[in-house]
Amino acid sequence: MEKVFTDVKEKFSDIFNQTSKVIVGQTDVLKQIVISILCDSNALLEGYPGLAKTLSVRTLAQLMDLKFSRIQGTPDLMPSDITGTYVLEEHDGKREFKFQPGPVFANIVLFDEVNRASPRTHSAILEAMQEKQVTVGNKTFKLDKPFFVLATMNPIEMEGTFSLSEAQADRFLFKIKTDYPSIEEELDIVNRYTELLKDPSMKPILTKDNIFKLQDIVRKVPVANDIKKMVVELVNKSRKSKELIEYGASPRASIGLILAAKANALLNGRNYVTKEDITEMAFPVLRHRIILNFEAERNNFKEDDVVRYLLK
Amino acid sequence: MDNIIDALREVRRSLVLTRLFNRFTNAVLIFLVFALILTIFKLSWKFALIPPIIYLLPGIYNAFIKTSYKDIEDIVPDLEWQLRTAADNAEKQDEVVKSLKNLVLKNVKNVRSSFFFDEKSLVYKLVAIGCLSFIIVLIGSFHVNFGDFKGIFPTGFANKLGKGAGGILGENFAGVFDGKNDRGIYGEESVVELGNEEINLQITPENSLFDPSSLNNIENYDFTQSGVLNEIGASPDQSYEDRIKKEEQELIRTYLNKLAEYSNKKKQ
Repeated sequence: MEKVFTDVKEKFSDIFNQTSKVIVGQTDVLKQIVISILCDSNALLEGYPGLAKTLSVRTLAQLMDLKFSRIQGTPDLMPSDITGTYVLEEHDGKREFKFQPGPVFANIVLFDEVNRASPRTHSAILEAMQEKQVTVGNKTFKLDKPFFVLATMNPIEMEGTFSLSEAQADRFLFKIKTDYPSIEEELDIVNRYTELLKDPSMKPILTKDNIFKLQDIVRKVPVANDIKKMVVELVNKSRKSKELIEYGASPRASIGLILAAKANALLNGRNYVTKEDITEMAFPVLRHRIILNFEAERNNFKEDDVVRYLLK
Repeated sequence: MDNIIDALREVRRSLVLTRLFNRFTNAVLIFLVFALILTIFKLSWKFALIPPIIYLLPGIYNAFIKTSYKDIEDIVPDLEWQLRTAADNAEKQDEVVKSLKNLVLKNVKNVRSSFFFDEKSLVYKLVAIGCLSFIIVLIGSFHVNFGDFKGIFPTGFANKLGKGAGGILGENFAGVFDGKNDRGIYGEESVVELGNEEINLQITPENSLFDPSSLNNIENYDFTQSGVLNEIGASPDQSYEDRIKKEEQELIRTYLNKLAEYSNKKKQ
């Protein structure tokens, strides 16, 4: 079993090496997406346009041998556009309704600009995320496993958008932030994409079965009671720090933080969780679960500043 | 499961013993420092036992009760979070926990008691203990002190303060370093030097321990007078009267009067 942890580390090291052929930088983003998949959860991705969000997820899907689909969020997007709908088909002179699955029937679903979609559509994708199933008409369809939704949000151009409610945002394990690349990274991007005609081919490194096994291992990674206590105290502190936070994180944050720390430990080839895992994972887990108060906003504090304050 | 628990207990026990030893050496140092101070001020060394006891008791409590796996992990960073995680999940039997237990057992084997010792500080402490002990013995034997501070205490309490370490040590060690201890073996040094040789000693007033000038208001006695008493009288004793019959008493009285008259006549 000890070898498994070493192998896992090597496998993911391979995956990140492969993605680096296509994506420059964004190591943390890729790592957090992988952790979300290993935790059998979903993630929000906030970043400016053109930061290789779609490319990152598509590349990961290729490397993990997973079916990938993409939904573009628009105000007129209907739930049936996501879930699929019944269409009338004619076979041998007989007409019958046949279910035409929507893009949600994939393993990795990229919901681009989720905040542009209407709340009705939000609820449809959230049901899929939560229940791993969709209901069309009077029939319920189970989604293929593993199922992972990566919803992106654009931090600018907020006009005409429908922000996710706190309850909806709470269902995402992570809120991953992408930032602009450094000068060197951007030069590398320019060189790559102005000289190469097509993306390098990717061969799957992991299979679905591997992912199921890894998801099982993640849940079995033992955690010290001190770590659990630390996590619960941290989340509790977010509710009590009224000087900066109006609404703190829910118990779902405690669960998510422990689970994410376990997956992070596994990615690092460890069979136990450390404080560093918690510190590292606290930012993506908590940043969308806390609502800053006026005082914090007046002082121009960001969510990450407040999480850093909570970790002190 | 038992293996991991035994291993964890063993490591913890090593740390507890090390902490107790450290605490004890510190207590000895504290005792010696206070003993030195008390010796210099001629106070009883027994009072130097109080500070180390006060220091030792919480240390013993902390060593036994508060020593945790975290303390071991702090000393051996390679074990960080491993011991606590393994201890907290000792009852689980899945393959991931088993692999952690194996890892902990492997790492714990490399932990030695010497990890818990700060060798440098231990050497310093032992040297300090040796030096302080030597200084106390020297001070005791040479009766070095800054005065008798018993005077600042009430009389009753001062008696309880006793002779002071210097006093006790001084008695025990007197002569160890000044050569006077030879007296016990050879007798009086001056006599040893003389051997069997005879000497004539003449005690002159200057050499005498008696100083006549120290005497004042001396009565003048006339040593030429005779020692014979001027008057002799006798009186009968009650018991005598009781035994002599009434008719004989007169006879005896007459006899004694005659005798007295005779004596007076003879004197004249």
